[in-house]
Amino acid sequence: MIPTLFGISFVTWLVIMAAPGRPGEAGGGGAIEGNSDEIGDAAKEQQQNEAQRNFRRDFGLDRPRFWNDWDKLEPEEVLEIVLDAGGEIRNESEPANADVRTVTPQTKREAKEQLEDFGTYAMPALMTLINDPSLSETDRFEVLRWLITCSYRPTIRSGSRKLTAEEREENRARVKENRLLGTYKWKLGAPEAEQREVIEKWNTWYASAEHRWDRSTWESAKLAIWDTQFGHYWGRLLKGDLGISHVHKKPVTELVFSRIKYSLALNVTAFLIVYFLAIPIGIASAVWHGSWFDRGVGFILFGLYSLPSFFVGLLLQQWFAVGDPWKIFPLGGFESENAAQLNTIEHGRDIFWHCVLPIVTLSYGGLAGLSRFARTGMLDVIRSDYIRTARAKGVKEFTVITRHVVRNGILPIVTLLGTTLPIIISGSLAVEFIFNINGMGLLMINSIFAKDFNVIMGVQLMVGVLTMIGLLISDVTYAILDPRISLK
Amino acid sequence: MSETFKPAPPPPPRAAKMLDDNFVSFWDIVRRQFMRNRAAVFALRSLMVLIVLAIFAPLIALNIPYVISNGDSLQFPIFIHLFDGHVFKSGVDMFFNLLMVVVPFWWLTAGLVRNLERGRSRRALLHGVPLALITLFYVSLAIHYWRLGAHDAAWTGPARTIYFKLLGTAALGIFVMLGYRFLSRKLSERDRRRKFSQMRMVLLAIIGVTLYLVAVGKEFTGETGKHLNPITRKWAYTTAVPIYRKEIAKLRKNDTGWAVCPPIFFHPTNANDDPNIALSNRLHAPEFANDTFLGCDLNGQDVLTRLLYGTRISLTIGIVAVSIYVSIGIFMGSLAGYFGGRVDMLIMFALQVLMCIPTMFLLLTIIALFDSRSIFIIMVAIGVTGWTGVARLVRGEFFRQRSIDYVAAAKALGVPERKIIFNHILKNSIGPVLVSAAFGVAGAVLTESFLAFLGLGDTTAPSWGQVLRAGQDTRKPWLLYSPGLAIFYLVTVLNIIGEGLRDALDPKLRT
Repeated sequence: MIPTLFGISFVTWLVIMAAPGRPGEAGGGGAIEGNSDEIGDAAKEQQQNEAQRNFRRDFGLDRPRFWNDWDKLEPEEVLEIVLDAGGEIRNESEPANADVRTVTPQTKREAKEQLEDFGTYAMPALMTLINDPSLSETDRFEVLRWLITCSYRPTIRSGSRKLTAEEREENRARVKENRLLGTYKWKLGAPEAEQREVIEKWNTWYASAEHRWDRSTWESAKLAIWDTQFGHYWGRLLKGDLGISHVHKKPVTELVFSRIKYSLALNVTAFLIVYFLAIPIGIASAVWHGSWFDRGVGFILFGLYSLPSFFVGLLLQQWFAVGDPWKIFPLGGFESENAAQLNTIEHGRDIFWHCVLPIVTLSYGGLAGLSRFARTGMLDVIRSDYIRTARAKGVKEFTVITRHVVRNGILPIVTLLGTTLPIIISGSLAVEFIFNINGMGLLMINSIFAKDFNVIMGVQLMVGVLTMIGLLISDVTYAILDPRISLK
Repeated sequence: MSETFKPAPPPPPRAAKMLDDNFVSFWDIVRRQFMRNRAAVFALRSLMVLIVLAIFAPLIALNIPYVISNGDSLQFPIFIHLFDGHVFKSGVDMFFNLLMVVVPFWWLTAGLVRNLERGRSRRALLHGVPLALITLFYVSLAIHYWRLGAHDAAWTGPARTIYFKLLGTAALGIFVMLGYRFLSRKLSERDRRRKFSQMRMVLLAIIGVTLYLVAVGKEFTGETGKHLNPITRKWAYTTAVPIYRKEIAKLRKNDTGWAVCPPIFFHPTNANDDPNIALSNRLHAPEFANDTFLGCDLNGQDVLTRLLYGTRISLTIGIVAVSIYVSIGIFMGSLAGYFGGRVDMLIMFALQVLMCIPTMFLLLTIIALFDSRSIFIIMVAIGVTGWTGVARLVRGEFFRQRSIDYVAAAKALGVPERKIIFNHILKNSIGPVLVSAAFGVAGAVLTESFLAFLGLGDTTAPSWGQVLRAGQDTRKPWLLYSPGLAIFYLVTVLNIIGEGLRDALDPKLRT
């Protein structure tokens, strides 16, 4: 149960991660362009970068995927990336220049993103670098730029929950510190003394805050596992947080739960109809095996079985809703637009009227499949020896059928519940699309067109969980019906 | 004890038993059972008809004449345009066009060789004469274009080299076929599993053609159209029923030439190239006089033509996607079933997880990841998500077969595990997999048309689902019924074949 749940979430996550290109790129900002030398003049760029970073953080993209080893960043490594980020842009076709460090736009963008992702993890390395006397002046200036960026600590955000007093205090302190550290800078070409003064300020601050980077092995290990994309994803999942839809600007959990009732209403009704019709039909065909009833029903069911549901939906609309030849039912939707003004009885009738065609579309396929399956199952039982025995000892035919045949023949149908459920849920995709019902299927399809990955992941997870619950119910029902199996 | 001691007759040697004419293999029995099922045989024939229609679609519906004569030179434009990247934009169409040229050669050669082998020389004529005729046709076509090229510089280049390449392909196919035929005849002295060698032959031929296509495919999709004369070129790139009528009328009137055209003079996708025609034919109702037998869609494209070419897409996706997932399923299932234990646990866990996520949702998620939705991505996506059922089936069969004595015997003989899995157990458990594959093709066809219906399919390919979507958008009956019934027909046929196969494989129903 729990491992399966974990598996489902892992598959969902893996599929999204396997995507060529990063998720959310379609909705996010473009590459960070421009390279200003004046830190003070770059307020606009800073703002843009801020939005970019928030976006990446919201989507949990600013951490490594599985294993976070940023705790022990080497200064040399960081210096390379800093220099890449500050390099002159050259075209990819041009050769590298030996005098000036030139990089391709791609490398530059990646280096910048990498440093932003490092955030406070890079501070120890950057502090070592800025105190390194062997660095040239321009290089040190680059280091300073990133020192300011990386020291920035975002405020605690809690979504809809109200912040506690402590958290607000902490946020105030952070804002103050961020603002203060933003002033520890010099302009390019500033005199040596001013630079030394600024570096000294940084050193004092770092000495006072060094305990933040002083982690025990246990803490490092915890960070290595949890401060990753997968860790964050799971952490949020445990809290029931599926992220934010960037199309609807709403939390996915809220979105999914507001839609799930429509899907459930349709699916559960269709499901009940399928079972309540299919089993009697199956029994009747098996009992009157070879009769005109059996052959006729078999023929019709086979035809229905092969009819694609989206075609049937369209046909029903054409015949009963469009007005060719009848106009009895509404064309789509779950309820009328003026549903809020109706009283309860009228409202119920309205919903019923809207749901007739979708439910027929949703249930005929499963009905055909299940009845045929029920018929074979019952036939197997009817042909078996103990039925002959029962008849031979004079049990009434009715009792034979109800007590002996049905009781045994129904078991395989119950096990089929597990495989029928995903099929019906998949079928609701087509039905919701055709009849324009605002359920999960339609949400999924619209999100695919909008590339709203958080919603896609959320819906898939939700559907997986629903199916799993269905399977569980089928297992329990099986155990209840079959006395040979006990619930341990 | 007056009776004389009679030694028991020695058991017939294995080879002798195999050579016995009364020996019937398992697949012979299955085939006979299948052939007794009239519905299944009818469905199989219907499927054959559909395949033939798909392969020969350009001869039935295309806006390019078979033959055209403008007074001084005779041309066969349709055969030039078969491999023209402007006329057939997708790789699937190119592949089927290649089949259109090559399949008759193979079919007739196979028939010819079979009849000659069995000494039925009169029936061999039935295959031999058409074979000679089409060979003659293509050779003379090649020579014709070769000579045209000598007079007219525009004709040099792809147009004529293509014919030599095609002949090369056909020759390759025939060579493979004959080679395998003779090889299998030698083999048949030892064992007579002819069916298997035929299957292998077909497989090898398909692999050969695919490799060949990959090798020379670039040249097939060259801009052959450049080398045509203005009139034919104009026809090739527009869907202009009125235009072609006028042109031919002009040719006739001036007594300068004539043309023979396909019965349905439309192109499946190219109507967009000429906005005037797209506008005038837009949502044209079915009309016999206008040759639009099933009407036109939103872009002024003929529905019948699109359905015909859509058959190619549906069949390709169905077969390729199912081959992918059956391969994955067999591999996973046999690993789990043969080794059991920890391997089984791991694979079963993956199965359980994948089965909890409804396939359609997983499929949509995968397809959402890609910006370009070519039909190859759809095939692979269906293949990757669909293997769970097959894997479970194969695993179950393996568990059943693993404890049967022949496996123990094979192990005792020191047969390597790879061979036990794939040569022994797998061959004995392939029946249910075949049945599920037949149903699977139907499912894949449905899935593909549903994706196209949602607008998540390949938008450049003329798929059945797309036409149905146009039907939903416009509520025009001719856009609704024909594609829906086409999907229904193909799916029903495949389902009946699957049922027939299942019944044929079921020993309880054997008569």
